[in-house]
Amino acid sequence: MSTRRPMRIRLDKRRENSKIIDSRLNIALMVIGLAWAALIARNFDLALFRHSQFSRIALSQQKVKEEIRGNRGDILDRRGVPMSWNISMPSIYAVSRDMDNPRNTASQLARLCGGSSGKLREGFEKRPCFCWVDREVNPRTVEALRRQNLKGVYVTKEPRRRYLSGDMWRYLIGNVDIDGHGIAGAELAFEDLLYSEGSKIWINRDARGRRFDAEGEYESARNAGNSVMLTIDANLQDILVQKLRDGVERFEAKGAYGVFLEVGSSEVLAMGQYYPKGVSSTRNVVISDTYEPGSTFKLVTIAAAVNSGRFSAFDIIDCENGSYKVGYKTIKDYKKSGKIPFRRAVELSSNIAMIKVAHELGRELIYRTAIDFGFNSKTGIELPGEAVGVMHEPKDWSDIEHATVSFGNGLTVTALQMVNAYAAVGAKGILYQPHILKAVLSPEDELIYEKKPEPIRRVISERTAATLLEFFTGVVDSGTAVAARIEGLKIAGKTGTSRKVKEDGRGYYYNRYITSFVGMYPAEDPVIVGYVVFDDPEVNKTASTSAAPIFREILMEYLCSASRNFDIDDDKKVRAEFCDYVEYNEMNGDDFTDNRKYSEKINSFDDLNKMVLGKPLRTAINMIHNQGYDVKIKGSGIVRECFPKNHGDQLIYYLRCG
Amino acid sequence: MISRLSEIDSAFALMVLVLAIFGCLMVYSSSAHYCEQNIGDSFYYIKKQMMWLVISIIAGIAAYLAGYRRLLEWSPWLLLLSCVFLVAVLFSPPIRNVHRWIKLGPFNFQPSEMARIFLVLFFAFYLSLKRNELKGINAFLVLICVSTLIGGLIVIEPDIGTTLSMTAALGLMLYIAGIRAAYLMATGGAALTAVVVMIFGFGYQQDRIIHYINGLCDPLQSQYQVLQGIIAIGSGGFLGAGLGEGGQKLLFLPESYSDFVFANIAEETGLIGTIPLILMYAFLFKRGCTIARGSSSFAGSLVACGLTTLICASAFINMGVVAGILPVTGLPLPFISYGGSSMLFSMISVGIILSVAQESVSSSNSGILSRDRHNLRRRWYRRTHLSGARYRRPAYKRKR
Repeated sequence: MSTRRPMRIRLDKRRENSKIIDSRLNIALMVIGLAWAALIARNFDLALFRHSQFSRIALSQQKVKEEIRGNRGDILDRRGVPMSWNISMPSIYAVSRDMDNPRNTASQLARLCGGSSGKLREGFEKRPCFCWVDREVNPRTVEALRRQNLKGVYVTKEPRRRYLSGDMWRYLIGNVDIDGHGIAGAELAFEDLLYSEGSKIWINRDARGRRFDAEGEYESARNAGNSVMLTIDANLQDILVQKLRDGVERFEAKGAYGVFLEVGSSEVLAMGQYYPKGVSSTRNVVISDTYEPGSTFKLVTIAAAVNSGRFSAFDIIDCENGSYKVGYKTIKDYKKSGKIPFRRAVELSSNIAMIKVAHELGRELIYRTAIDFGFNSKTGIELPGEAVGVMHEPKDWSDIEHATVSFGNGLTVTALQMVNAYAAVGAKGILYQPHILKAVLSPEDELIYEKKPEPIRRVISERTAATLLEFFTGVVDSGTAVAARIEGLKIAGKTGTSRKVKEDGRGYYYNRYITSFVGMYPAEDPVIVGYVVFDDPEVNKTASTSAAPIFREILMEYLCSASRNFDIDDDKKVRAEFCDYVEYNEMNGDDFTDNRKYSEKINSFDDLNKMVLGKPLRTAINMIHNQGYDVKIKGSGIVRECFPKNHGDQLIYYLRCG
Repeated sequence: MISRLSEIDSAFALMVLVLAIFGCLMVYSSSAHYCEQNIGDSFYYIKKQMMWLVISIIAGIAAYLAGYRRLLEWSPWLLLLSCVFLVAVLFSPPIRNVHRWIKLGPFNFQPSEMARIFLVLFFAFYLSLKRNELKGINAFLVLICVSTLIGGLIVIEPDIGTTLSMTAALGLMLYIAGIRAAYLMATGGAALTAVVVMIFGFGYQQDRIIHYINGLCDPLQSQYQVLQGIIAIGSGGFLGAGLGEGGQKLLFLPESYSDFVFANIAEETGLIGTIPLILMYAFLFKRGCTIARGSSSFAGSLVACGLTTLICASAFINMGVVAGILPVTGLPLPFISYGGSSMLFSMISVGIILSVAQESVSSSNSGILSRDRHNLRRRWYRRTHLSGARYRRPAYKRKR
């Protein structure tokens, strides 16, 4: 203090100073206190006594009531790979009263999204508060739009349904209408499980009328439907469809279809079809189309013969050197033979032998066995549109019909009935109800319901079933289906070739066939049974040369795909050995499993490009489909190049592989 | 320096810090949506605000260390400098139709914030200089002239809010300095008459006043911005919507992060937040007055009182405007509203006030008051012990 230099302002003594300041400050404080009290009073008045009034006003301007569509559940395959799920696609809308220069904005938008700027401007004028610019646009456009930072142009998200493999499996998975109701396939079959009611919420909006979702209210208020897990193995399904397509192209067939079941539960593992044209994409041929099965139906005759104990493997049957007259009709064998054992007759698929056996057994037994195997009635699978097939009552059969039924002509079946009958043979004689629903999962992924295998009845004895398996193994080893043989594996199977019925229903085409092959693996104790049918192949017109080799390819590829587990553990060993044997390279393991991860991670073209390069083609296609794009492919194998291209209003990714 | 910092008036400083930190919170809450929509970074304003808070605290400490006496000595020159800025601002390009800010590099600088502080300092300087002539009219007239000049420059920007808060502070200073009440009343009356004539005679800002009077009776008749503020306060209720949950800041309430931040506070924290906030400013004022009383120097008392009034009058006017009991003027809520100039000069004021407080603390330690205490004790001792005549025995000891 003492060192401070003298100041112009005097250091006054406190007492002198404070007298007047004190008294006057007190008066001032009182006045100011009053003002403060007024402020507090006003706050109380507004916040306590008029609270409800102002809350109402605030609510009415800050919130809008919105109806939110429920989130439809996913459809999963048996390993949890989503086959049908929801994505939200960005849509662009404009609020032209927020714009500084609608003319300019319109032309910029037209450049970005396509379309004419004049039309856009018209829309702006007509609807200044809300006007769609473009719906379901691709993310790149949105990115570009964000970069432009246009005033009065906003992006919202709309839910859409996406499918694994795009629309290719629509006949199986089905699709939904614009309101999110299933209208075909599994989407329709499990509508009650998948669908969820919409809900209404109050959503925040700002003064510009933009709705936004501060706390994820949309998502939290959204009801979610249950997820449905199908018995389908997406991997096998994929292989099946691709091979059918291969076959159709190779054999120049009109179409092809196939179905794979798990033996012992009759779960549908795959259900594929490929018709280049002429069949609607939502028609499930496997269950909706009936046809004359041909030799595969001999199962019924053989089973009845062996099960009744009246025929055994080595009973000699005279095959009449390939030509046999029944009534006015002459029945011919594809392969002429004389007196051969019953078993050999099955291997060579002799019609004449079957006629003789059927004659011996009588109409009733054949008919009852067919009915027991599930023919002439619906299998009861959950999918819509199942057909029954036609099989007349035995009392109405003529002698000729009695003869033809024994080798599968003069009646119609569905592919599913046929494959399920063979599944019964594999399952030691017990027929199971085929089904496609494996489990129901709650939105939180908890298991709600699990479908157990449902045995319907015992059709044949266990011994008979074993004998039949031996017969059918012989068919593949040294009979008509040698083309289905895989070195080192035991496969049982049966071919079937039948003339196509004319479209007007009168008689048969002379030169058109339906060829089919049903196979079981492994032959000693089957776990999987598959059925492949070709409709009118032009090149290879017999089952031995068309359906059988395709079945072989399907099975081989299925067994060799390392990550594609069978649910039965014992089988893994067999498969592993086999893979060593053929020295197949292991395919990339992450094919299907990580689809969900991809769809979350990818948000721009560059990311997508980076992820797709170097991946196996099938993985790449799935990843791009997941993002909602279409794909065009050149070559096969590993993706070498990926580039997007605008195709009309749609973005298509071109993949070059090598 | 450390010892001086340790003598800081912790109650005052703490209250200011609490307000500033609460302010940052509310600026973020209220500006996030706006910034995201218009700038693209929801943290844009809060980052700037935090930066300014740090700069302002450093400036406040600098002012504190410089001491108010030195600033008082400089005050005529500082006032002159502000005058130059105030003239310059009139020729700068207008922002939102008012000449209130000068662009200095990346920042908008508001000279009126600076001018009002230096005017208060100048008043304190001049009043203490003419200490003995305050009963006369000369000193008063000089001050009125100076303040009319500065006030006039601010009014034509226009910046009514700053002028109002400045008038309150200067008036109080003149009053407690001992200027005759009659002079003050006469001047006040004249000014009021002038304002009334301006408004109703010449129609200057008449709409605003009419809206204000309507709104005072029925809040729903207020003009848009005030109405939105009132809706915010009303819908906040007792408990409020919760921090960050307010809806009015979603572009319904203009300036929800700066001049109308109080509305956002009311909506999100309710009465639980606003009443303590209002009381906090009241306590700040009370504490400032206590510092003024405790100061051993006349000039120090005036400075402390004037600057505290400046801060708290701004706060009162701001909150009053939002609540609809005062007509709309653009004035930030000190320490809380978004804005660099306001934060900077508020913190400098705090530094000056604290330096006044520090002086009286250190002087009481170093003698004046302890000497007083000694004198008192001696007097009491004389009274009770030395002169028997004054000393009365307690009743029970007295002989009858």
